[in-house]
Amino acid sequence: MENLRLLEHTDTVNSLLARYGVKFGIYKNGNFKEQLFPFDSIPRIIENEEFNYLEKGLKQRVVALNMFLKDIYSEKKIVKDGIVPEDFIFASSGYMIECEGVSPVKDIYSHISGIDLVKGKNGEWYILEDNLRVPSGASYPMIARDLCRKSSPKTFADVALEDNRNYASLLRRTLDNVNVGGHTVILTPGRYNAAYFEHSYLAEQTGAHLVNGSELEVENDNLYFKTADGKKERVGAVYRRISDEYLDPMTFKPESVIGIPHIYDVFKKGNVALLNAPGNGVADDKGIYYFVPKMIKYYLGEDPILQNAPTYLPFYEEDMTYVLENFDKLVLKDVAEAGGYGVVFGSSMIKEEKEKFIALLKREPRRFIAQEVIDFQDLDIIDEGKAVPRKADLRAFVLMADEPLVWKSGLTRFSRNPDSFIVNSSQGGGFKDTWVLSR
Amino acid sequence: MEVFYSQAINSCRYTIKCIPDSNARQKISDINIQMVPESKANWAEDAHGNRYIFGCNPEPHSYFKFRLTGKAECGNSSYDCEATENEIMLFRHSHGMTVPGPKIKEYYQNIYDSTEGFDQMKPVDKAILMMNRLYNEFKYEKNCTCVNTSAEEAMELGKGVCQDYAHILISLLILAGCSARYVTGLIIGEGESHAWVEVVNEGKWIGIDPTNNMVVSDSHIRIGCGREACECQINRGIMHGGGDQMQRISVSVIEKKSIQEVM
Repeated sequence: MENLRLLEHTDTVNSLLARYGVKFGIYKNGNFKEQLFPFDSIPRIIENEEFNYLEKGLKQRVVALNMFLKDIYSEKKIVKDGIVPEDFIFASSGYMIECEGVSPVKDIYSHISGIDLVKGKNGEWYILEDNLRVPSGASYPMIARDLCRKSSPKTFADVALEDNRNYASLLRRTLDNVNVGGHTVILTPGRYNAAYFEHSYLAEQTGAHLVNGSELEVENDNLYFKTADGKKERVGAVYRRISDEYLDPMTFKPESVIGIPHIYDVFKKGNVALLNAPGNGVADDKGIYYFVPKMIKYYLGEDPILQNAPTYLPFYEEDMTYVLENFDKLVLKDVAEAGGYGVVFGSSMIKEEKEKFIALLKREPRRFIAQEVIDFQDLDIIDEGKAVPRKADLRAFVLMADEPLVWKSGLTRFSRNPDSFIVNSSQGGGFKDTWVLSR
Repeated sequence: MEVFYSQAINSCRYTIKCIPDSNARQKISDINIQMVPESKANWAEDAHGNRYIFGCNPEPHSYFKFRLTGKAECGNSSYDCEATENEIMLFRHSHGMTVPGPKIKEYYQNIYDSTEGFDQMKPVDKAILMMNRLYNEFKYEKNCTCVNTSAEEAMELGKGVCQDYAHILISLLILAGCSARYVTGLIIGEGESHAWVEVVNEGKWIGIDPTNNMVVSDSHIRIGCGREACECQINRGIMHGGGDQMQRISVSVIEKKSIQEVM
């Protein structure tokens, strides 16, 4: 069993990851704490054929989501045709008025998408969530694979595996596709960001400059990078790892000190590409998630290849009735929250909590979605030398370059708590490499 | 507009959004912009079609001035800008400072309950009705609200300035199912910039000025619009260095027989 050889190296790989600074920053009670992102060396293995199916479905989904974003910030046909209710657009915190009528380079909005999936016990895959703003996580399986290959080369000689270290070249191709002339930079808010390791690692791997806001400057209607010797060189593409609100204090949050004044004006004129484009929050809202299968049908005229987890919108009366009748077997999610927050299981509430929650639900039905609890497949992890089953999901990465590209790997996150379904790394979970078999 | 700095600042960046444009009800001509210190400004347009200029003063300075002069000819009665389908949709959802809270909802319910056939009224009539109520029950008072005061907060206070009147009326109109937006502009006389409301009535935008309890006439010069005040904020700036700053905005609109001149 070749895998066993790899398992013996778990500690070695984890200590190497620690040495490389593969950490995840979290804010707890107002304090910034960096913690290691624990790696489990039993990989998630996906058969070649199964991944081909996922790949087709993921491409279809991300193409439709991009078409949706383009439509929402221009004609809004999907709203006028009654597919998506107005409330889910204009009352969504992700809808940004500043993006109205603005065309990103080549009309690409979500260049880098992180799509979260789970596999049910029935063997079916379900989409849990789309992340179209600043999805992170690709660097972890990249570096883990690299370290595993070094510590256990024999394992990899024996399995026919898709190499996942090509993520950097896929990303580079995505960045180059929209670069309008000049440098490509990765804009980081700095080392206190949760994903700073990833920013620096991707910069190193793609050959882009890693910069912070103060190293970029707008002059007239172009963006420049200030070099160490005081020269200014034009920037054509910014892979920005800061959120929309902080990007430009002249257009968005005025108190932002990590953004670049007037960068949004340069973007509007088409003189720089921003990856991802601002405004994508309107498409990855948990409320909009419900409509993604309808979007696929609407824009592409195709049946969705990948399915959503069965979801109900209390906004619709009949769904509300269902939710109230089946409250105990559903999971409820606040559409405005992310990172595993604002998620409650109907069955876990005591009577008073339930009454309070139902009152809130009736008052603000648009704020919540309800989903059937999917009994997803457990994956084994090694805990104190023993294999134990844990809940896990998969974040797949879809890149929109000259054509949609799906990275043949992904970030598998697992919950370390045996009773928890929440695998988010902000909540202290660990990760695994994702192996896609090449035949 | 002038900004005085207590100490020289090293540099600043500005976005200025106060350039009126011609439309169906007003003709703008002879626009002249003067800036101290002089800098190359770039022109742009925002999501609502508001024109603005942006740029940078890279050299140290302790005084910044922006002066715009021009002529405006305003139509007497017709305030007939067509409302597009997208505008009608966008402006019937409250956002940010116009999101109603319990006070505004209660105020609206009160108007609704005390008005027979409210649902059958035309939007402009709903607007006039609510404007009358607001004008009589809300007190004009300076310095008790600020630029960040929401409609709900102002309603609770019971007093405020034109921005607050406009935000409250927008919030009420949206509750009544109308499309309504915030408008900035100028009125005859000297003083500050003004704000009022536009509501869609039979496919056209109609101006309603709740601070003055009037349907907008030829005395109003329109500058820009948005869902709320911050979307048509006149200026935004970022400076490096320096101490305190004092900003002064002055507006002067002089009527010329048939032509008004703005300074």
